[in-house]
Amino acid sequence: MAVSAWWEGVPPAVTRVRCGDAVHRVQWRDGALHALDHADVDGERTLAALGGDPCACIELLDAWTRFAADEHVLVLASRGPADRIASREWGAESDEAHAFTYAPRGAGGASIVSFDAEHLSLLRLPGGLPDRLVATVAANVVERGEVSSRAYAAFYGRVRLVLLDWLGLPDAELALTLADAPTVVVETHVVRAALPFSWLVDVWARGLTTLLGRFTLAARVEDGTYVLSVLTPDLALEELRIAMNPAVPGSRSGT
Amino acid sequence: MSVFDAELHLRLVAERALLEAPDPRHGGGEETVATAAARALVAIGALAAETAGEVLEEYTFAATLRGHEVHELFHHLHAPPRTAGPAALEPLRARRVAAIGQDVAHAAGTLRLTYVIFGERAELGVVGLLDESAFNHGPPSLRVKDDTGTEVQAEFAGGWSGRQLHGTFYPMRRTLSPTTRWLEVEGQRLELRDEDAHHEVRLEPLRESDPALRHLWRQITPDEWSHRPAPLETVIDTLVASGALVVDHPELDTIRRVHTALDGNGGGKRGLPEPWRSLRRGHGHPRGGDGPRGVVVVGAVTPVFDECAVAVDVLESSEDGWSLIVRVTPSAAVKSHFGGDPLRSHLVWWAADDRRHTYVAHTGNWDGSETEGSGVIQFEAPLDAKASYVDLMPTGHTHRAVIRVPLVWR
Repeated sequence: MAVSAWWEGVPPAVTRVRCGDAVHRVQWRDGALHALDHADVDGERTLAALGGDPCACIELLDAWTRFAADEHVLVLASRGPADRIASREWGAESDEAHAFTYAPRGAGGASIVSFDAEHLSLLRLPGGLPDRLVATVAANVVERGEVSSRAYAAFYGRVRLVLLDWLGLPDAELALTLADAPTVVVETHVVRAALPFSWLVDVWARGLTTLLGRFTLAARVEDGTYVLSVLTPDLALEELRIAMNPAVPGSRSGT
Repeated sequence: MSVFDAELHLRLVAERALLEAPDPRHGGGEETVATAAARALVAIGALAAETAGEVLEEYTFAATLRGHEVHELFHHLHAPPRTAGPAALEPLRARRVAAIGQDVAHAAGTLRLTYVIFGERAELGVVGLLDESAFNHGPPSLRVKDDTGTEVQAEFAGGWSGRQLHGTFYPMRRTLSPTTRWLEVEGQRLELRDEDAHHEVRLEPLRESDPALRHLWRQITPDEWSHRPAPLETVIDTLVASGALVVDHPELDTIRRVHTALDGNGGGKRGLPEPWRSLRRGHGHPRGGDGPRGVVVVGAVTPVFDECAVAVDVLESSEDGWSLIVRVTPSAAVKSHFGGDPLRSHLVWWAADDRRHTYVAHTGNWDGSETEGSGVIQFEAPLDAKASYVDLMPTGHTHRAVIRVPLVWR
């Protein structure tokens, strides 16, 4: 069986960027960001480096590349639709950016972490792009095969938000372990779940966390179809097969 | 047995709090519980302060992105860097402090000058009643002259309510002679009374105690509250999870009872252990408190203890409470609302008088640099007017200084 790319089944997303005097489209698709209204991105980047006018679309592409493996993104970005971060177009002035121009300092005055306007702008992008950035960073973690405390906690938050809400147990304790074989067991006041970190890429990033009243434990793309392993409301295991939207990479016509 | 991962524990506390609605009792959700968990882990040595700070900063930023109010965590971002190690510390030098205790007629009303401290700048303590018109353009300034002929304009720093003014006047451009015998304020000569202030200062080791329990006791002292109840159960959960505390430790019941009694949510002080049973607290008497009015020149310095040193210059008392003008090195040893480091162990300002009352203070106005801070330590409960002395006890994590101050009012 062919191994599919991680972005197969993740719907494309597009945002609009004020670029010079024009409004341009920047699209995420196939795991990468594309400036749709620039024919020669490398050429324009070189021109800007030589003193030409900076181009907002290319600045966004470059920022995306810088943060594509930055696990801070997992901590900062929205955990899902119930965890809303107000969107703002790329490059818009931000009050928070000013608040965080005070460099955090650790021992000896050295900077520990530095958050800046680019972090803010990326995580506030409209059009679903921050979720695609989360997926990109998560895919990097999966590829590395090592889940840090930072990544695990952010994974925990995303699972908790969906799973406890789906179970109707928002105040329950979630005991979550990383495991290849997904399971969910509900005890008094405690929900014990085992999920692989790749759930974030395979399920969460594809927007498949809950579907038809089911909670999705695992998802894969197979011949233009999502194949889902789901829990029914009475916690029984089921397999669902759902035809993909033709616009989504991995679908029969989208690949 | 699984190994406790302190960083992961803190991240999960912060993660849950970020996604939960802020608890109104704590005035803003994730900041308080995450900071409390971080402090506990740092206090018992389970997590490096730098790592804890990094986690707090990330979640502060996450909270800000969501439009949450940011309280304590945000302050961590402005914390002075920890550069002053124990080896660099020396006791502070005593400054000349003189009592004045005289009224001065100002165009806007009468000012009572209570003391003067000669440091880098001369600081003139003042209380007074001024005409409301005096505040139309901000508080008034004073013309002050010393016996060398130096004349300065001193500006007010402090607070005022209605016509009542309370604070300090500072010369802004030049300073006054530190050896002057008198000051002339608004043309009126004031003799300075230097006092033979040899206060007994000693260091006492604290009773050896379990680091987790010691942290819990410090957590529930009022100064640690920042005007909000400490999230005690979060701290207990963290200490239990770390293995530093057993969940059914017999002292936990006492700690919870003291916390509840001080929180005002039930339980009187009877039956509480000392010093809690004798703790006087401010009540905001509608008719005013019964504390003595006046100033005591202290001028005491402590040796270095628990990586800090303290100087107490002045004790001021009013009907409703009392305060100390102090200096501390490093400034980060004092908990302050702006610029403080919430992950560092702070001094707790205990005091006890000879009438068997105990007092505990919080930090008032504070001005800190990397090496030294100065400001006001505020006791909200009035002093017992019949007390003849008070022991000031800035308390660290292994020792406390005890400064005995006879209460001879000026």
